[in-house]
Amino acid sequence: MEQRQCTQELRTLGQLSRGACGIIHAVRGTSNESKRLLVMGLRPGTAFTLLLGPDRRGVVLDSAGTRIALGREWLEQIQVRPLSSFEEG
Amino acid sequence: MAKHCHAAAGTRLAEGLPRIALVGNPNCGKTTVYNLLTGTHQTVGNWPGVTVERRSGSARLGNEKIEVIDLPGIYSLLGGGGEDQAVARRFLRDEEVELIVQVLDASTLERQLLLTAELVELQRPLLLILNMVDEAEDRGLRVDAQALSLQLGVPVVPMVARKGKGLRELRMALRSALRSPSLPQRPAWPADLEAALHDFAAQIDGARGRFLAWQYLELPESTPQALLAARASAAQHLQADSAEDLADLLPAARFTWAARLAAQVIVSGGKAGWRQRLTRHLDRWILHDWLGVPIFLAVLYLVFVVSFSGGNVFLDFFDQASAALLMHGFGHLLLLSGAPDWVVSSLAGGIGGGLNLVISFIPPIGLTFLFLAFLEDSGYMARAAYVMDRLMRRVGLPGNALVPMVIGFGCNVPAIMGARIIDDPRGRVLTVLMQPFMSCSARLTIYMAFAVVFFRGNGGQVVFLLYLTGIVMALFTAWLLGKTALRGEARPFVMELPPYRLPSLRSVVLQAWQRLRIFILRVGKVIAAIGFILFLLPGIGWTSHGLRATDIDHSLLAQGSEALVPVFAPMGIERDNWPAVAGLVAGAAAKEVVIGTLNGIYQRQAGGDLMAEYRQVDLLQGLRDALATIPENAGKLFSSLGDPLGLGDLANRDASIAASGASSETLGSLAQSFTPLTALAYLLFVLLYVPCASTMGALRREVGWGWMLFSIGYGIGMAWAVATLVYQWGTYAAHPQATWLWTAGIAVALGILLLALRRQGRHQQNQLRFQEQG
Repeated sequence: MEQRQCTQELRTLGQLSRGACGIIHAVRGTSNESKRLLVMGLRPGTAFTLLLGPDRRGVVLDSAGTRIALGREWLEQIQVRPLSSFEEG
Repeated sequence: MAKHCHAAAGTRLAEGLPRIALVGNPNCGKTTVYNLLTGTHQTVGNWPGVTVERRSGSARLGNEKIEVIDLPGIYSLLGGGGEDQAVARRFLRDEEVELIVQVLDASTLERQLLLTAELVELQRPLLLILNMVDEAEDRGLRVDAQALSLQLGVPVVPMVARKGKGLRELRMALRSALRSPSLPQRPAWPADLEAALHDFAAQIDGARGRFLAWQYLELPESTPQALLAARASAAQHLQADSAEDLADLLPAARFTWAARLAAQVIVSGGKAGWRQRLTRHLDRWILHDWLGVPIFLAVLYLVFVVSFSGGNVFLDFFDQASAALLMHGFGHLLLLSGAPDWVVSSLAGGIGGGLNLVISFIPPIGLTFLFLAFLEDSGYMARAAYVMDRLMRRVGLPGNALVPMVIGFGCNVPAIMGARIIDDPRGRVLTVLMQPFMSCSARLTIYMAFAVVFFRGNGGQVVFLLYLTGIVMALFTAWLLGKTALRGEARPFVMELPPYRLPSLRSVVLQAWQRLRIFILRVGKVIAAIGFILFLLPGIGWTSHGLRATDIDHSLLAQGSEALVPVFAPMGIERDNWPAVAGLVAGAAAKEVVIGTLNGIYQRQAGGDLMAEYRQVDLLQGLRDALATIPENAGKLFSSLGDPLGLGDLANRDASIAASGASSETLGSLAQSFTPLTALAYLLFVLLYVPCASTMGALRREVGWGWMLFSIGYGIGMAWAVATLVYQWGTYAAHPQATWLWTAGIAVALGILLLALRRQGRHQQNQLRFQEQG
């Protein structure tokens, strides 16, 4: 059975590739900007899957079944810990 | 803040009617539930003091009647979003309602429960609608509504609102909840948080103390002076055992609660179904790095073409039938009743003519609203905004600003109303102020008449140039204001992309109808009033005996227009060409009346019988002719798909004359009064100055009096400057000194405008800083 585990490595959202899974570690920027993400359900500790991008526009990610599009400006502002997959049993 | 809400309270449908408020995240299907409950019994207005649409309606629950309020979509009661979300927050916090009904998208339950966590803290009667259970099942999720109801202590009704499923159960649940309202159970928060909230809430007056305690702890800047010490004490208590900031700690508690509750009530199983797979596949193309923009432009072109080509099928029917009834028929009746000519002319020609104008616009505008509602409900609009964001950001605008711009080619009024899709207030104001420069279809009638006379060989190119000038001016305006009075950058893009859905026909039609109704009622009043004045002015004038009935050359219209001619002299309008100025004055009310005004003036000058159309009227034949235009126009539909604006008519003189609505006397007079260069300058002025009274009315509604007055002044100034520069440089050889003088004058005026706008921008930023510090 496939299991996922959080790595210790810190990256920015823009450094992930399409299909990658991760957990938000921190959101850099003003509190207003963090608040905008918070109300969409994105905060430190939130797990996500990168559905599209990163590309010239930004990324589309899936978090708890919701698709959220984020513009390019967020790619460097959101720090994440990638999730690595491994087979168990 | 509270003032708005108290004012809103006064707008109950009827005193004593139980009131329920629908609340939910954007895209949860709340408006579909609202439409299901209220049907056509809806009223649309504005929330007091703001330009956010207020939708309320009445619904029947058996023999009982209730009022239903559809609040704007909201993610949180604790901030975020635009003005619309602030309105919903204020309402939920401060207004008296018998029941709050939260609509939740069952397919993303965990995230939707975050709002529930805040709503339960309000401690007001609550009912939950678990909408889109079909989509949840498609994702392999089944939600146990009964378990959710037990956990929260409130009724939970599963629904598929789009298909009307669960409506009966909802009505029953509403009736029962209104008869015996139940307060939700508070979540079991961690003990230290519970204690801090309890102690802090005890020091806050009013029924919402507990919720306000949350708010003040999470948003310290909102805490009143008198409660600062109490807040500090609660915060200290909470943070004693935690290194986390309160702004993280409190949301974390809600997220944990929502995740736990979702895990308890969701029965998982199965794989993602066809809807998820379809969304994934479609998004690969629609959001493609390179194909996204062309696909978006193609979709918009299709909306535009279908709205206007489809609308044209019925346009002549609406136009001719309303003209037969409201103008000719009504005028004939007035004549028969012995009314004097000027009364007939003012009432039937002015008011009737004005209404005829509004009615003839119903088909294309109605279809535009219909397609926009379809695109919004289908889930495409959010994607379009994401796709265009990068390009529009270059002029400081959010991605979705392009949608209203394209609608503006049809009519500026729905374009301005369409700017509501932009949640960033700065981006919304910029987008609204761009719209008057988008060349609407009404302006095309004027281009046609002039193209027939002056640009026969290259009419298409001239008209294309005018359209292009409008776009450039719109983008320039956004750029200029974005760098001066409305300084700032478009906020980083973040938006939920709902799954693709086939919208419910009922919901789409109702949404379009509500918007169309506003257009007809509000615009109709303005045009009818202005039409009355315009028909009065050519018949009366100042004489040595005071205000008397006169011939047109001595009328108020002529006197006023002649007085204004010197202003237009630098753009090539000569003194005896006062009808051109009269056309512009009339055109400020509605561009459709420019050619009509010129027709009227030239016919009167030629001594034509203006009452002829009211004397011999065959109403039935008029209606029959109107009806016959439907199949005739339908036949032309497919040939016009490649040319929705009808620019192809420019190649054919007869077709152009017919499309412009100008009489041969008018065309002859135009040829005598203008040269090709003055005609071009005149057309540029027509393009850029005030589009029409209805557009300005819409602008005032959306961004207020100040920006409306700015738009009028700025539009007239820009129109005059561009037209003058074109004429002056086109005739440079004849008067080089005057050309340089006018050019320098315009440059200085533009410089002054720039300085004034920068000053205004600085002033606003200082005010903002002051507010933030205060």
